[in-house]
Amino acid sequence: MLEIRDLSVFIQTDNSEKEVVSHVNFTVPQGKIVGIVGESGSGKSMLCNAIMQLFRQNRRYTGDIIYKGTSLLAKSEREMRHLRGKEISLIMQNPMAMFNPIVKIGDHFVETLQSHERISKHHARKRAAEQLARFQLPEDELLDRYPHELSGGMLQRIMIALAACMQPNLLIADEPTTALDTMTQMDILDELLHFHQKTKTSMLIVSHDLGVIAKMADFIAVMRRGVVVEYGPAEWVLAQPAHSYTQALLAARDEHGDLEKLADSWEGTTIGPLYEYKPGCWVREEG
Amino acid sequence: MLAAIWGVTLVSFFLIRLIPVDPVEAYFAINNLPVTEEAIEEIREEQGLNKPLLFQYGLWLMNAVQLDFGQSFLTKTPVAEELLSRFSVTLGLAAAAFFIVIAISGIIGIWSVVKQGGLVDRFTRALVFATASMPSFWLGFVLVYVVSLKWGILPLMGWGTIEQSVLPAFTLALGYIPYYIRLIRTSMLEEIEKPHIAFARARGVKESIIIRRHVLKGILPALFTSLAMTCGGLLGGAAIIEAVFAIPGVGRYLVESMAARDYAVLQGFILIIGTLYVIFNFLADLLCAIVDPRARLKRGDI
Repeated sequence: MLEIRDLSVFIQTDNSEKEVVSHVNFTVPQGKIVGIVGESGSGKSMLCNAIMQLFRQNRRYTGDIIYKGTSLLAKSEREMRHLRGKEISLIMQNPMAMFNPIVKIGDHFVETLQSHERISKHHARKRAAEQLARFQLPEDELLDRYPHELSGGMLQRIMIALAACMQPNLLIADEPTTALDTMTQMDILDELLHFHQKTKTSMLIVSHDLGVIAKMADFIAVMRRGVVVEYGPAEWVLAQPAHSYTQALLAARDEHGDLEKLADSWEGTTIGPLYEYKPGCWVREEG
Repeated sequence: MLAAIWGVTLVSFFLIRLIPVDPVEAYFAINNLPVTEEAIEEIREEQGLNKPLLFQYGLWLMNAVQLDFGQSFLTKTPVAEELLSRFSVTLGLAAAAFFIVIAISGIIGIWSVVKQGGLVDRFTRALVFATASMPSFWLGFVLVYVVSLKWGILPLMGWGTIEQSVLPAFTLALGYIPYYIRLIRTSMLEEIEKPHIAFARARGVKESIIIRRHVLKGILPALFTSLAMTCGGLLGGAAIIEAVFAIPGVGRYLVESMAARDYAVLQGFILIIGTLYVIFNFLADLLCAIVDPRARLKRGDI
């Protein structure tokens, strides 16, 4: 359904260019959840933005992103706009900053619905209320509230409801639990899993927290410094990690170690070629 | 707000008294009257200037609240009438300039952001730079020279018809337009960088709606605050423009009164301007609170 083919992402500044994602390959199969784990700055968010084709004006891409058989890189801004929020939805990290502080919650729904179909404000509000109710949110109270009046956890759940309101084919969640406390994190993950089980929506979940990925994903990609070091079915990657970075990652999780420190101190190599060491399992060759 | 206006009355009354020339002596000097002790005392008695300062202030405040600013020293006519009739001209000029500023800088500012890096953007950036470095009254004279004298399109001076108001209002506005184009441009670009704009794009919201509903609405509070200050600036600037175009506004009247130390006129004028300033700022706060719900919590005083 979604296929990332040898994708590299370059951020362009005035007179230089920086590669933030390097030759990444993986697929998101229909109805499955793919998780990407990596330290902050490993290019995970860049990958999400690349799929959404946000910030196009100062990015350069090589490789390709194939969605339903067509290249997203080749699509015009107009065509992309029709996909965004309707077929491919994005849940972003830090919900407190993602809602416009001077626009009511209900109006965020209304404008999203009105961007993709001809619908009156009245009907859009009704749909918004139904959608909030579907996610066990108190719809009468929320529609006329402003974002600053609500907690981060509440806003994140609203964001999920908002991302799901057009019944997308692919839901991308970029660090969906990062800014939240532990209890709320679990609630949000349960919410996402529940939504997935009900609708069979394909998902791409990105996190620096291996626990989050382990709980959610059917397939796991491990990233470090813009490079995918290992990709395969979740149970296999978690039980039999092939790459030494993945092994270090799993060991660090068991000891509650710090991922950022690990990413800095780990001294192995990620430049080897990616090879399929058994069907569906890919790893970078080491030394 | 009432406290602020009361502060304005204090300033307008006592600040004038700090001017180191006796108004009565100034009065005699200007009218070339022979100065005698009795004559001076007589005038002091007539104007109430021999009473204690606080008593004078109380008396003036009582009258001012009822919009009676006393009698002019110089002309012996009621100040309120004279000021208000002249002030309406100044106010009209400032208001016209105000709308010109908003219209022109709004259109150009928004255009340069929407078509960022385009021809209009680059052209206006150069133009803004150029005009911002020229004094507005000089540019005003150039305008007068070209439009009125060379082309003869618009009348040179006077006041009363719409044609007569175009040039002065435009000249007055000219100084503020580059500033506002820049303000609108930079604050819009700043707003566009915010994460919630990226989220709106990720939801597939149309770019035109993003600009209108999110970006433009987002810069309104900063704009209102700035415009409130500009209102005061325009009123002050109008005095100069009035002199250039021979408009019977408050400007010349004020300069004459200043020379004569005409307390009543000066006090009345400062009070009106100060009060307007307070009102404009209050209105700006009010508008900000309407746009931005977060500003409502902070407001307690009215």
